[in-house]
Amino acid sequence: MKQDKLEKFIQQNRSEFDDKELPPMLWNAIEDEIKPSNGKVFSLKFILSIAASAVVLLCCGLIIGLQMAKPDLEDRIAAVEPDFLEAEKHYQHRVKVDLNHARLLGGDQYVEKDLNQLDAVYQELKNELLTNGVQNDEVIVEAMIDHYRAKLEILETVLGKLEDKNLNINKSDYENIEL
Amino acid sequence: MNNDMDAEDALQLAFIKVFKNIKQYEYKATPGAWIKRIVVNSCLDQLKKKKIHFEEINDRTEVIELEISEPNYTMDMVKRALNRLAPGYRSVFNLYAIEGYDHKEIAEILQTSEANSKSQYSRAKQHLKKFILESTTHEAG
Repeated sequence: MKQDKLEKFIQQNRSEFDDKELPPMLWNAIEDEIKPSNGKVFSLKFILSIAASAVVLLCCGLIIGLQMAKPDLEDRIAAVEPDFLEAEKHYQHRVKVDLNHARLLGGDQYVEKDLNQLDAVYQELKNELLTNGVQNDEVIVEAMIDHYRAKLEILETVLGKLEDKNLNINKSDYENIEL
Repeated sequence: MNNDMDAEDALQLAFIKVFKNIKQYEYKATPGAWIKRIVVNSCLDQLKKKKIHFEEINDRTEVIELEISEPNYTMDMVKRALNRLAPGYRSVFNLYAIEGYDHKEIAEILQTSEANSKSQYSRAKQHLKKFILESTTHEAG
């Protein structure tokens, strides 16, 4: 649409129409209206800095707590069974070897569920050792050693069956060979 | 709005709405255009509360034809003439000539037809020129 003289004048002086100043009180009134009713407004930066500090403190607390708890746990186990750490290494090694063997025979899926359950029990025993009184330490440490024995027994039983099965398969293979 | 108090009230309500509905901003327009639209709607709501009405245009409506030589406009004479316009005319004139909306947008804002927006604007402009002419004649006399 073609502009006439009046429209051209308005266009050329458009900024002159924005001549009103807002009273500062207006922004205060708007701020009051949008403020949460129960108190202060915190900036995102402020909230994030608090959250970051909390995370740092929490991590420090956790690391210090774990470092302090570890010697205590080891000391209490050693007090009941001085050779526990060595025995644990031995059992862990045997479990690893047997599990690899089971994998090679294709039977690891039969044992893994049971082994995982035993690991969960072992973790519970460790937690109990930290939370219970010293009077139960002997029972708990024995149960921890039993856990390794149970793991090995399961693995050896399954391995025995897998080896028998393998042997039978091989035998039947020979029997089926036509001369 | 033709009244500072009403304009401030409309602006306050508009900005409260902006802050409370900031999550509903859908990036379809620039933030400035979105806020401006809310402010315009708030002003119109205020005007509607005062029961302003937009002049109905029909074939029998008198058409003012001004075949005059236009004066050299000044801001003061334009602003004074704008204040004399009926609220309905003033809204359409402001939205088109000053705020830069097109008639399609004005029709949407005012919930009317595009043709009606054009007619309202044309009549508003004629009235404005008439008021300006009256004021210059009066001053000259």
